[in-house]
Amino acid sequence: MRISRASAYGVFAALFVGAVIYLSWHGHGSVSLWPPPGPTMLRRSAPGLSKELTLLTWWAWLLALLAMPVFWRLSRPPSSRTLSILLGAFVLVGALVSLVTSDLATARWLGAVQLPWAVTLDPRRIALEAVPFIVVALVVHLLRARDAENALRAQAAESRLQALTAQLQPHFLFNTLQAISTALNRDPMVADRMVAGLAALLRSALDGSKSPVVGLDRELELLAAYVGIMRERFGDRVSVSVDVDPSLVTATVPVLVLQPLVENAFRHAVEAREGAASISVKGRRNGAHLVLTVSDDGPGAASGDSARGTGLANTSERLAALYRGNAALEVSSPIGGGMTVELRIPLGQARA
Amino acid sequence: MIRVVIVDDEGPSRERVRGLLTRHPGIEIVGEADDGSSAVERISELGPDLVFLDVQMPGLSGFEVLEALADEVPPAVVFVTAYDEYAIQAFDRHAVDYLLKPIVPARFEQAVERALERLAGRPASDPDVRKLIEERMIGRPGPRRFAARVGGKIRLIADDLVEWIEGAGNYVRLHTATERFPIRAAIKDLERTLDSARFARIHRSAIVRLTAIHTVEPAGDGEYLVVLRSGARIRSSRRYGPVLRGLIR
Repeated sequence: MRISRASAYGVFAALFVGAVIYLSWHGHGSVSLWPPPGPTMLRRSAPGLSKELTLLTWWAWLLALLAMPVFWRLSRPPSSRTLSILLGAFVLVGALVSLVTSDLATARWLGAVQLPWAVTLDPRRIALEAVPFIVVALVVHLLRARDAENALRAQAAESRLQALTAQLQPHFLFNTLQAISTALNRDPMVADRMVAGLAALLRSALDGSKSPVVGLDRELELLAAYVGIMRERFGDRVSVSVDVDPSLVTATVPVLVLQPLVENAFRHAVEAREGAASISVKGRRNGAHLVLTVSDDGPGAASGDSARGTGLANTSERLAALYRGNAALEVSSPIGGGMTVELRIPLGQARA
Repeated sequence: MIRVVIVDDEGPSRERVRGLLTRHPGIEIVGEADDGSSAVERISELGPDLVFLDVQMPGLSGFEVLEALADEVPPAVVFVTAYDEYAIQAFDRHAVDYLLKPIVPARFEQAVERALERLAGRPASDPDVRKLIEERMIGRPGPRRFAARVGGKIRLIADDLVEWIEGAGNYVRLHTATERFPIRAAIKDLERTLDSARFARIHRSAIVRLTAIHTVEPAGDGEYLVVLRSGARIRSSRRYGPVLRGLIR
């Protein structure tokens, strides 16, 4: 449930009214809620200090009530600072009201007698009057904190979704579904294979937020699933070769780190040439690092491609989040054309 | 017989459209293309009645294909797209028919029916493909490129190679340092698709790229002579004098 400003205001007003009725019922003199107690009404009520205190409470609550929406306009839950400001304002208003009522003319208008300072500023009285106010403020604070937590949770879900679309683009998903529906009519076995491959990719992308790294062997299986789908979609316009040192398959890498790089390379390379785009993925060891490279035979850096830049930036961010400064992404493009993206990932150091 | 061309860079996607069309004996598939450039060639050489046109293709997009074909008799077009929310909004706005991948047979039938009605001269609604293309270009500030047909081939010309653009009625001529390319478009429509920070209209029939300007000489009476780096000399008209005065200042 979201606590709107209006409903918090309503709860506060109800408590306020309740407090006033309670106070007026329990020997603090009878005070009507509206219009504010005039001279005749007060004169009729029992004499004594409690009457003035009731009045004071009435005005203080009214002013605090009017002040609340101003504070709640700040849409975050009230901080302890806000709460202490409110409390201070409450005490100050009480003191001010007592000052005003100590003025003879005003006191006469209100039908009150001059207030002795000692009573008005009695800390016990003020504390007592502040209790319901503090309770309400705390309840509102807790409810709002819960709201904030829910919002955070929603945000986490959204970033998971963003990670998914960064790794598996909607364009890829829908084109693959189109290819599957074609295959259903021609060769159900092919359709079966594509569904299995797509399911593996989707599952890994969705699980990515829980287990952000996988073994390189699993990553290569996912790459194979992806390449299998590409082959169905583009036939012989794409060829992907994979060459990874077998001793490295136990290394861990961010899940689906290779797939967007291969997708980028393909899009980039196929755009520029009539024939097949060939992409090569290599993995080797370099000291304490696993070095993965994805190269294409496209036109290289000569053609600016902002989509490619975005894809690489995503990969860079993932590496930074997982390995701090221990991983790196480098792009190189020789003059003759082609482009190579190189990932350096520390061996066996991933934060799981 | 309705003659159809299918354009998509993915084989299975073309096969899907082909398969769904077999139920229509009155429709004949006369050609297919697997990228934008060959689509332009195919469509202009075959002159089909109806084209199923993929939007996102490497090289030339579906929109650029139609732009390059602007001086042909336009075929009816059904766009096919995997995912592009902006394109879909534009399709809806201009009553242009489109299919989402994966293509659903019922929706496909509907699209074919609408296309047939349109071809029979009973427009169900009035699609405005030209406006759609123009809007796609205007919608993107910054650099753009032009698709020009040169002897059956499509040349893509990045706008920073274009020195100036000469208007000639329904056509414009793009002038690069060494070449000229005719494109079917009115200069005032083209002007709106250009990056106004880099291009300026200086005459009813001339737009120049600002960084291509070498010198600007006052020619009296509020007119100026603009000399480009390539040596081309263009006289501005008085109406656009403020633009040039702004450049000199």
